[in-house]
Amino acid sequence: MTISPGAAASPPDTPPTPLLETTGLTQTFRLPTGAEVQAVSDVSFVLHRGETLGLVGESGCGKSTTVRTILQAPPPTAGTVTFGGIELTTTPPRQLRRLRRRMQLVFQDPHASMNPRWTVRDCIAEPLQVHRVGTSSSRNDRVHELMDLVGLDEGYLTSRPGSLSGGQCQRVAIARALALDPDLICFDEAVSALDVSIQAQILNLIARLRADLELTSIFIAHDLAVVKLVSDRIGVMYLGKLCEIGPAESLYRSPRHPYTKALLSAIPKPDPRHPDRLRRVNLRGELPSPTDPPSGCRFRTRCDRADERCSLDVPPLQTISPGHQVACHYPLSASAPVEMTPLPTRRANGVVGQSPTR
Amino acid sequence: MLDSTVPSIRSRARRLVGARIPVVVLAVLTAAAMVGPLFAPDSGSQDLRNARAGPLSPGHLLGTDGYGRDMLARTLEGARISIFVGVASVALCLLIGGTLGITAGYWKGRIDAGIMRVMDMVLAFPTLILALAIAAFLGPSLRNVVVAISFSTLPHYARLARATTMSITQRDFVSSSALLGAPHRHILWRHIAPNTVSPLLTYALLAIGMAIIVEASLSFLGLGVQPPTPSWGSMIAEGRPHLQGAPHVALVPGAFLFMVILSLNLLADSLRSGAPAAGLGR
Amino acid sequence: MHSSLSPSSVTDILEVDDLHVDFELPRGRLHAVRGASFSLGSGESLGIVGESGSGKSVTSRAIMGLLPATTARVKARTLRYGQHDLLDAPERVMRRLRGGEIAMIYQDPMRALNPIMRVGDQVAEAIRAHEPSLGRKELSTRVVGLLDAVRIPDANKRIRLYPHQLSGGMRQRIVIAMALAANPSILIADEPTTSLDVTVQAEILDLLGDLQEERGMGMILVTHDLGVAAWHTNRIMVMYAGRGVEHATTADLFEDMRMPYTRALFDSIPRVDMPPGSLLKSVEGRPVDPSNPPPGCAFRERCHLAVEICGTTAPPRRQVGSHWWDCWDDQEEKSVK
Repeated sequence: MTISPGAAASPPDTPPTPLLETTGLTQTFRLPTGAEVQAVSDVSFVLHRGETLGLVGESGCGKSTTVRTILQAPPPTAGTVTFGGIELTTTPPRQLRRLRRRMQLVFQDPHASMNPRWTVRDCIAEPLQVHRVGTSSSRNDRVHELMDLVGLDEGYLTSRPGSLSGGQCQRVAIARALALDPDLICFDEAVSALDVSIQAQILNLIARLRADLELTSIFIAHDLAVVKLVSDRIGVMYLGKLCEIGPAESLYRSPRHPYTKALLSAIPKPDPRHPDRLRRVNLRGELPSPTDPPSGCRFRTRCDRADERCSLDVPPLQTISPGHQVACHYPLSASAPVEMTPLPTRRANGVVGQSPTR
Repeated sequence: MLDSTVPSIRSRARRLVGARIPVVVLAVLTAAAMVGPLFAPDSGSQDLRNARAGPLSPGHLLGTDGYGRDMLARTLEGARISIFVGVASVALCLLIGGTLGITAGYWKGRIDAGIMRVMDMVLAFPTLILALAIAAFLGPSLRNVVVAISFSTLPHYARLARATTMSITQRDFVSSSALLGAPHRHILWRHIAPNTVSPLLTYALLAIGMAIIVEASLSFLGLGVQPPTPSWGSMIAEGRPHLQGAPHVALVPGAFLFMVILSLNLLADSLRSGAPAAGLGR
Repeated sequence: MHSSLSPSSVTDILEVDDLHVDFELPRGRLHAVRGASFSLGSGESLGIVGESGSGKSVTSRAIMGLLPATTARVKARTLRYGQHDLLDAPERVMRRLRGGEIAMIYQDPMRALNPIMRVGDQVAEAIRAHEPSLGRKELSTRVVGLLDAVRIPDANKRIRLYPHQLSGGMRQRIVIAMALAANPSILIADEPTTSLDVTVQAEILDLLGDLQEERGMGMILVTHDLGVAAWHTNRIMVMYAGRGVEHATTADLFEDMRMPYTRALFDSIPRVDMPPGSLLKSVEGRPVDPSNPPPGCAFRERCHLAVEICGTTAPPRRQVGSHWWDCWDDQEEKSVK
C-alpha cells in the first residue's frame, strides 16, 4: 500500500522525496509462555526528507517497537523498509552496519545510553571512531563543534555521564546522534524523563536543530502536546496498528479516528480558564491483551461507534483528505470538531458547579 | 533528588580504613616472602641439634621443624608458593573463564548452551575432590597444582562473567553502540569487557584465598609441591604427628594460612560493598 | 502569615508553618525543604507543584512522618493535624494517624502492593488494620464496596487477582481503595498519575476529585505538572528549591501569575493549541543545588527580572487576599499577561 505524499508536508515547488517508506511492517514476538504478540501490525507510512513524523499512543501501542523495527533491531517479521532507495530488510549485515551511520536513535534515559566509564568526549566521538571518520584531530574538532551545536560547555568534555544532569546528558546523546550527519534521527521518548523546564530547553534545541540542519526525524512521545510541537505529521497507534496519520495541525483540530479523539480529549490543560478544556471522551473498558487482540478493528471493544462490521473486517488505512489517512469504518466527520463543553472550574471554597459526566 | 547511591568521599574513605588492616597484612607478608629468603637462614640447611626447637630459640625466631630447618625461612618460602599458586590460578581463570563467560553471555543461543553445559558438568563435582583427582592424574608438581585449581574453579568465573555480560548487553549504551553500526569487536572490547572487569576482580580477590586453601589441602595430602620445597599445606602435614610435643611446627604455617585467608576475605568484602560504584555507575 | 491563606469558611485541619527538612548525608547537609507554609481545610483540595528537587515530595512525607529518622531533621513552627502536633507525636499516635486519618498514595502502585497477595486480601487487610473486629462476611462486603467506590468493574472477580494481572490504572485504583479503607480525612496523592497513560491519568484524576468531593476529604495533590494540578484543586502552591514561592486559588493563579518562576514553569509546558514548530519560552539553567542554596532568591540566576537585591536578601512575601508570592519585583503595574 503506497501512500500519496502529503501536500501540507512539504513546499509545493520541490517534489518531496521519500527518505523512508514502510509497507506492511509487522513485528511478532514470542513470549516465554509460548504466546505470540504482534507488537507492530501492518504499519505503512512514508517519511519525506526534512520532515518530522510524530508517533503517539499509549504504552504498549508499539510506537517504540515500530522505530526499532525500522532500524532493523530486530528486523521485521514481515513487511518492507525502504531507506533512501535501499531495502533494509534484505541488506546483508555488513552493509547494514555501514548504513547505520545514516540513521540514529536517541534513547529515553540519557544516563543509561552512555557507558558510565567513558567521558563525554568518548561518547560523542564513538560514532566517528566506529565508522573511522577523519583523523583523531579532526574528530576532536568535530566533537568541539558538536558540543557547541547542542549548547554544552566544553568544560564538560572530560566529565563522565554520571556527573551530568539529565538535560545535559540528553544534549550529549543528541550531539552523538548528530556526529555523522545522519539522514534520519529517531527520538524515542527523548524528553519524557526530563523535568518540565529542562524538557522545554531540549525541545527548543531539537526545534532549532531541525530548522538549522534540515533534519528528518521520527519523534516518539506519549505526551501529545510535546509531539505536536515538533512534528509536521503525526501518526496515532493503538495496539500495534496505525489508526490515523495526518498533518499535525489538522489531525489535532479535527481528529477522524475515535481513538485519536479520546486521546486528545484526555490531555490535562495547564489552564482552567482555557476554552479548550474539552469534555472528556472516556474510553470504555480496558486495553485488551496484546496477545489476544480483538478481531477486525482492534479498537472496537472500546469504541462507541463499533458495530458488527468492525468485528469482522480490519479497517484499512484510507486517505480521507490530502496527506490524511484513517483506519476506521466510521470515521468522524471533518466538519464536527471535538465537542467543546468546558469543564467546570472549581471554586476556592470547595463548591463545585458540576461534576464531569462520564 | 536524594541521590544516595553515589558514594561520598567520606564513605569511601571509611571503606578504605576498613580495608587498611588486611592490605597492610598482605603487603607485609608479600614483601617478606619476596625478600625474606635473602635474610632468613637458608630454608634447606639443617640444624639437627635444635630439631623441633620452640619459637624464639637462639637463631630461630619461629623455631625449627623435625629436621632442624628454620621455620621462618620455610614459612616465608611457603608463602611464595601460596601466593604464586593463588595469583597464577586466579589469573588463568580470569582469562579463560572471563572469555568463556563473555562469549556465552554475548552470543547467547547455542554457543551459550554449549559452554555453560560443560561448565555445569565441571561444577557438579565438589571443587576439592575434582582438584584432587586432576592433581593425582597429572602427577604432583607446582604447575599441575595450578592447572588443577584453575580447571576446578573455572565455572564460577564463567558464570559471573556471563551474568554480568548479559546484564550489560541489556543496557541502552550497548544497543546505542550497536545501532551506530559498531562491530561486535568494538562492543565487546570497549563496552562489555571493561564493565565486566570490576565484578570479576572483586570475585578474584576472594578466589585467591580459596585457591590458597585448595593448594594447602593438596599439599597436605601430598599431591602438591614435592618436598623438600616447603608449602604451608605440607608443613602442616609434617607437623601433625608432633602436635603434642612441638605444636608450633603445624601451628605456625596454620596461623599464616589463617591470617592470609582472613585478610583476603576482609579485603574482598570491603571492595564488594564499593563495587557497584566503581563498576556500573548505577 | 499563614492562617489567612485559606478562606475563613473552612476550618483548617492541617496546618504547616515554616517547615524545614534537612538531610544529613555523608557528603554533607542537604536542605530539602527550607520554610514551607500552607494549610488545608477539610473538604478542600490543594495542589503542590514543583520540579524535582523542589521539596514537594519531602514536604508530603514530613507530614506523614515517613522520613528516615536517622538522616532527616524536621523542624517547623507548626505542624499540626487537628489537635495533634505531628512533630512531637509519639510513633504510636503517628501510626494511628497514618492510614487512619491521613492516607497517602504514591506514583508507582506496584510498589505499594504486595506482588504475591490477592488484591482483595490487601484491601481487606487495610480495612482490618483500623477495624479489627469486623466479621469475615462484613469485611468482604466492605472490600467489594470500596472497589465499587473506586469504579473497578466486576469487583467480585477482580478481588481474586494478583497485582501483576491488573493494568497500571486498575492497580492505582486498588491503592486508592486501600487508602480509603479507614475513611481518612486527608488524602495525600504524590504524583498519582505520573506512571500512567494519558487516558488513564484523566480517569484517575477524575476519580480522585470525585472521591474527595463525595467524602469531604481534604486532598493534597503533589505533582510536577501544572496541568494535572489545574484539574481538581481549589488552591495551588508552587514550590522552588524547598520553598513555597507562590500560592493562590487555582483560578487566581492562572489568571495572574506573579512569581516569575510560576510563569516560567507555565510557559515551559507544551500545549496542544500551540502550532507545530513553535518555540517554548524556556528558562535557561537548572534548579539550584539543595546542599548549597544561594542567599537571596533561589530563582534569581534563571530570572529575567533579577536585580542586585535578589542575590543578597530573601524576597519579601507580597499578598493580595489569599494570593501570595515571594518576589522583589513590584509587579503592581505589570500583572497583565
